[in-house]
Amino acid sequence: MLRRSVSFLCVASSLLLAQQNSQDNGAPSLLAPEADTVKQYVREARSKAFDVRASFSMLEPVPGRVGNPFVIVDFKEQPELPHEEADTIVIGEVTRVQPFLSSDRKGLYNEYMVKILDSIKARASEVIVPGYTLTLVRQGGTARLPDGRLVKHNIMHDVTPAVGQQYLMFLKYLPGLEAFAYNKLWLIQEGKLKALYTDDLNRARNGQSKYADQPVSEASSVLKIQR
Amino acid sequence: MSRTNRIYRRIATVQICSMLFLAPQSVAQTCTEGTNQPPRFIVSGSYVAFPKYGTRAWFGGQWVTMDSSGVRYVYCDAGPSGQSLYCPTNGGGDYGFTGTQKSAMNTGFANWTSAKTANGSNLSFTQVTTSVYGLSPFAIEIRRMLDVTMGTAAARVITSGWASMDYNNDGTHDEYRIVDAIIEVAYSTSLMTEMMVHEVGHVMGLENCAGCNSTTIMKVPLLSGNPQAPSACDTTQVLTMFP
Repeated sequence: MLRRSVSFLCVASSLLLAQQNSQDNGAPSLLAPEADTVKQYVREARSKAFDVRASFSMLEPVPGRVGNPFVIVDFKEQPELPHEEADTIVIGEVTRVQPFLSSDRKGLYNEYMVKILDSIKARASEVIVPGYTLTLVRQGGTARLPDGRLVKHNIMHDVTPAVGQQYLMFLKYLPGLEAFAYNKLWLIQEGKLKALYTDDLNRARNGQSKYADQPVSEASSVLKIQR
Repeated sequence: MSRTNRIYRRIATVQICSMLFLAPQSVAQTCTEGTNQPPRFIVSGSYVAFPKYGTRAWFGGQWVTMDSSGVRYVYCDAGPSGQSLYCPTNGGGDYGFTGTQKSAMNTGFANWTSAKTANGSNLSFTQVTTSVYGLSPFAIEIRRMLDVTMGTAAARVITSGWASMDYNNDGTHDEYRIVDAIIEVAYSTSLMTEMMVHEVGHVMGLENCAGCNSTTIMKVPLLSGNPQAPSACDTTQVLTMFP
């Protein structure tokens, strides 16, 4: 019995390790400066915005070990469709994620390229139409350094988009960074909205959600009336 | 049956009902993890918690033991890019919060100090108004969250320092504990006591609990109605990390 339990644990831990390794193997490398298409002053502004502003580095060698700093983030409760706080609302597909070092080289931030599939609410000054690509920025990430080492800037409990997935996105434009922050994401699977945030998951669990597991077209119609 | 007897019988019935329904509240509360008790916060096999008062930690190349102040906390500003925290006496101030906000957050710390005996940590939280640089470890710095990209984040905790603990003074490592943290606050509403009690809950070893009812400080997301002090079941859970 004990031997079976031990072997089960071994199999389970090797599976977990394999999963971790496969995730790490897929970690993107830092972008070489000459390959960066973003204007230099914008890149500098973005990298400065993500400075850690502390005497220590947030970069944790992968796999994680105790002794390195990490962040735990707690979110406020939001309405299911927080359209008022968002200046831009789109349905989009994440096509690429690219990590960058902050300017103090103590932290990472991710840039997500999002192909717009439908524009629901748009800032007048921005081109937010289907087919165009917009950029989301967010602190945290995993990257392979030029010397081959993997580093992680771990933000626990954050909701981050995945490449290849589609989302209903509630965004806020950051003029100095020429990019967007996201206030909320709903994952879209088979045309239906899937909750990602704790408050939405709670509502879905308690049967109090209007939009979880419902067609994205329903939320989209409501939002287009409210914009 | 006389009228007097009927009254006595009614009184007796009320007394029996009171015993049946009210008495259980006075006995030990049943705590169920995930319902009225948050899980423990464990990362890579170590509790994310400050060490118990009086235990020694290997930090900065020497053994350090928490003094009678316990965990010190200071309100700071975030410095400009490329610089560290701006605390009072360290080039900065504590202008990020109003007096009312600081008072509300102080209540959160005081409520944790009140629980120090019951939760087994014996940890007091003491406000200081000078930089904790040089006083480190066993400190929490509190500042406004400047990260414009975190959307609707209410607050976050950065576990900035860890140390190897030696509980039985035999010179060998027993476990890791956090000895420094930064709490960044985006909140500016009436829930600042609830918010700070929750964030300190993280550095006392408690994890978020989405499925819990509102009796625990670790219920997420943060709502009005969350408690302002650790509940009996929060305390029971913390106790398991400070044996």
